[in-house]
Amino acid sequence: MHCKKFNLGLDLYGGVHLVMGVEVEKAVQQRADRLADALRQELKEQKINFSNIIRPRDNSDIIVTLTANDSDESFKKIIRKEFKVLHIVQHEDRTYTLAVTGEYAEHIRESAVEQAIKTIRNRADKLGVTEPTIAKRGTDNILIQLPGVRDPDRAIAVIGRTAQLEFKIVDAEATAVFDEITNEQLPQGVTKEEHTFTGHGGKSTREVYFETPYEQKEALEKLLTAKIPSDREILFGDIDRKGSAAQATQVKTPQRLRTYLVTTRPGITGDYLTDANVEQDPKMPGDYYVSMTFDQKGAQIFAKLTEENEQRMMAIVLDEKVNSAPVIQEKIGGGSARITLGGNYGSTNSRFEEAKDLATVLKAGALPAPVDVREKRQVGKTMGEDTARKGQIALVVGVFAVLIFMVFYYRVSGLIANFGLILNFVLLLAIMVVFEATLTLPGMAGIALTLGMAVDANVLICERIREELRLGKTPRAAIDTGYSKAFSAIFDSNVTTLIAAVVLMQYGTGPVRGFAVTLIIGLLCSLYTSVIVSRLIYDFITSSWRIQRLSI
Amino acid sequence: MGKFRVFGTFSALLIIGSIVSIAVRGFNFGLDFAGGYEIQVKLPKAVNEDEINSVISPLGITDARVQQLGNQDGLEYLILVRQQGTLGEKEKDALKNEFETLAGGINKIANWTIAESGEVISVGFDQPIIEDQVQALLSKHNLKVLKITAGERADKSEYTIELASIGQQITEVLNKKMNVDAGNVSIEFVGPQVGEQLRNQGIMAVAISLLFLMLYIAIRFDFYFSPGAIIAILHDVTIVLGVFSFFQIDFTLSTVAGILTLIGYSLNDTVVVYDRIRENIARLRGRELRFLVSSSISETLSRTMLTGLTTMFVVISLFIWGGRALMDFSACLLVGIIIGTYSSIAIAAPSYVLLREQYDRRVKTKASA
Repeated sequence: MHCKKFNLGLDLYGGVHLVMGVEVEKAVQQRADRLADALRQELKEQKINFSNIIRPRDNSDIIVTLTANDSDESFKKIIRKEFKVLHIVQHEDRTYTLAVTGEYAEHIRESAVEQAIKTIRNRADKLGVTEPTIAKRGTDNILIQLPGVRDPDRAIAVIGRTAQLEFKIVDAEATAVFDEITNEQLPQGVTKEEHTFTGHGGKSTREVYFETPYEQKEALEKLLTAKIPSDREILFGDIDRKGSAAQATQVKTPQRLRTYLVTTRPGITGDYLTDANVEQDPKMPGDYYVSMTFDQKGAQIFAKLTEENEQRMMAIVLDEKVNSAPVIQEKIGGGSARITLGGNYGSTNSRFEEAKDLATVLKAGALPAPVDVREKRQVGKTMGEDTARKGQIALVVGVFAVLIFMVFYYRVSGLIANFGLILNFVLLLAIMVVFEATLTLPGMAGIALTLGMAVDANVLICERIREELRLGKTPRAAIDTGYSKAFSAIFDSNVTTLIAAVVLMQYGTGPVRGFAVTLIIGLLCSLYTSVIVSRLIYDFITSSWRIQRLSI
Repeated sequence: MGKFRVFGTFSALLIIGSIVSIAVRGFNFGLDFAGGYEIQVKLPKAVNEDEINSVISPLGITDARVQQLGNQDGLEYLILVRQQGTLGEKEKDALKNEFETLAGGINKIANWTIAESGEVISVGFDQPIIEDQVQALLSKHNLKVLKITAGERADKSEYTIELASIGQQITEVLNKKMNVDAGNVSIEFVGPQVGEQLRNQGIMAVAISLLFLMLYIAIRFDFYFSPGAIIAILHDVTIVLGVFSFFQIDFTLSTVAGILTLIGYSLNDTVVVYDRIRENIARLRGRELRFLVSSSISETLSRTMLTGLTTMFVVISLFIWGGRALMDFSACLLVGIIIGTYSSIAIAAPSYVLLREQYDRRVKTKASA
């Protein structure tokens, strides 16, 4: 029992128990975005003119407005043939509202949760958590148990981060459309800026952008999005403070953002990363960056992307926010890139931690949809040990009371019953170790309770034997009839408790499940020890000695 | 059997009382179902509840409840907070008023957003307000600030304020004032969605187990036995729920586990009595049914009492020494086992008799007609 250790549950070992909800609808919306892109492409190829294709912010519908009346039939045909996962839910004039079919949406939701589980498991491994439990619970919840984690808040931050990394080309040329926006039209606090640099093909390029306080972000986004082509989008990033020493020493970052006009479709995504590491900036000690390495295919895509867009800005987008947008100086071959941290706040140490966590999540891959914490239980290490000790005391006291009572009431037969009980206990523990079942405090309660109930079988048998003895039978005969008559009651009563325990196991989460598992194992063991083992002992005794009186 | 009228009345009264209590007082739903925070802490030296209260109360958490745990040594406490965010609705309004006063009037505040959890606030002014002023206002409300981020413009100040969660605040204050290290703290947080899911699943679990058990009894015995067993279980569950409601004992996930265990246990008892009835019917053919059932009950009585007693030993030791985590569970079983033992004798078997007699009478009247 001591050579192979028990898997102790969180309540006994300390650690974090989390339930995270996956925002599955976001995954459906992302898929709808991609379908809208594909549809746009298809309609262009089939020469069906449309004035607009949009996916509203708050749902996953796709709204298509056709230009000409006569293209209705061919449009419907394309949807039927090429986009089987979409169906038309509404049709008004030339505007069609398409939605993802229920079945397909369900598929997206399910795979989003599965993908999230894989990613979270990956991240937990990278965090160095030993034997984490990560499992689906209900439809969109993920149960995460991290035994022995010291800094739960950081663990949650790392595990819960979406970490979608995308590289998108900044379309500076197209920002000319913003010239028509007057200062009066801008939301309060927003300023219009511009800068000129030597852009693609050595041409002088002018980029118009806006600086906005955080609160006006959405208003500005709405205003700008209306002006730009549908395959471009507006993203925001912190204002680059590099080079301004005065501001770099400032402890708090001003919450102002600047806009970037980028291509909707990413040039490359974090899916192609093989590695990410923290490195220190040799020029600015205390500044860290995360260097990333692409796999072979990724390196090719990245090389082609950088070659085609020389002298253009490339936005490095992390979770929908532009981290930085350096100008591509030349084709980048070796398949590596870097993310510099916004780092003009916090201590060196916390910046290092942040860089390390970022590298961790990038290495482990992105979550398919954002997640949020719905349940959190964290147990301190000493607290856990304490609980374990208490559980042991309760278990030992309860079981000893039962054992003593049995001897007191049934004498030698009580001893035999006790032997069966102890065997039952050892068997139960052995099975738990073999199947690597986790021992929790409710599990300990389950063990105690099983032993309390396992006595029942012995009590049933002993009572029966007493009855038979009272009828004047010999000990041998009394034992035989006692056992055979008690069997049906023992069997039925064990099965009924078993049914309740199985339902409990299905329902139970974490600790409660542990209780149900020990109860089930215990009941099965007790059926075996009381019916078979104790019988063998009686048989052995009655056949070895000629017993005149049975001590019962 | 003759006392069935007495038992029946007694049980009926208990059940009515339970239902009334549940309807009037409701349940005191624990963390699992109600959501909120539950912080369990072990202190390095003995204190009393008032001392803990005095440490926490400056945090301004409105509904914290401190409860002593374990064997009255004053070392272990449970702090319950039902509030789910850092700021309640009233506090949010109060804070907004304060900021408006700071801004110099209701319309002078340019921007105001506050996260649902109350953990993030952003506020904008039409005039310069320095960070110290914001800080002073926040500390007046006893709010624990994680980070204040200032806006860029000097003429129109803007701030984003991040506040510590309730769990963080309590842990920190305990650490500072009472020297509690992180290893001696357990924090549980349950969001509102989870609670509702668990509640529905719990009801489902009880319903499903009843269904399966009824089926099993019907198959192993006959259909006249089934309703009696189910009536006995419903009887037990209702009374246990009534006790939980009447004494306002915390109703948690463990309580549901306890109820399911109780169902198994109570049925176990019932089955043993039924088994004897079945045997006696076969053995003593021709005897009156009431007599058969009565003698079956008395024949199994000693066993029923003994098993109840041994199980009780275990449950009592779990209740006394098992600590907080097993308290709700063992409390449920403590009441449940007494009721369950009683019901298998006084309710389940008589129900079988009544049902059977009813049937026999109907057959007889049909035959004579």
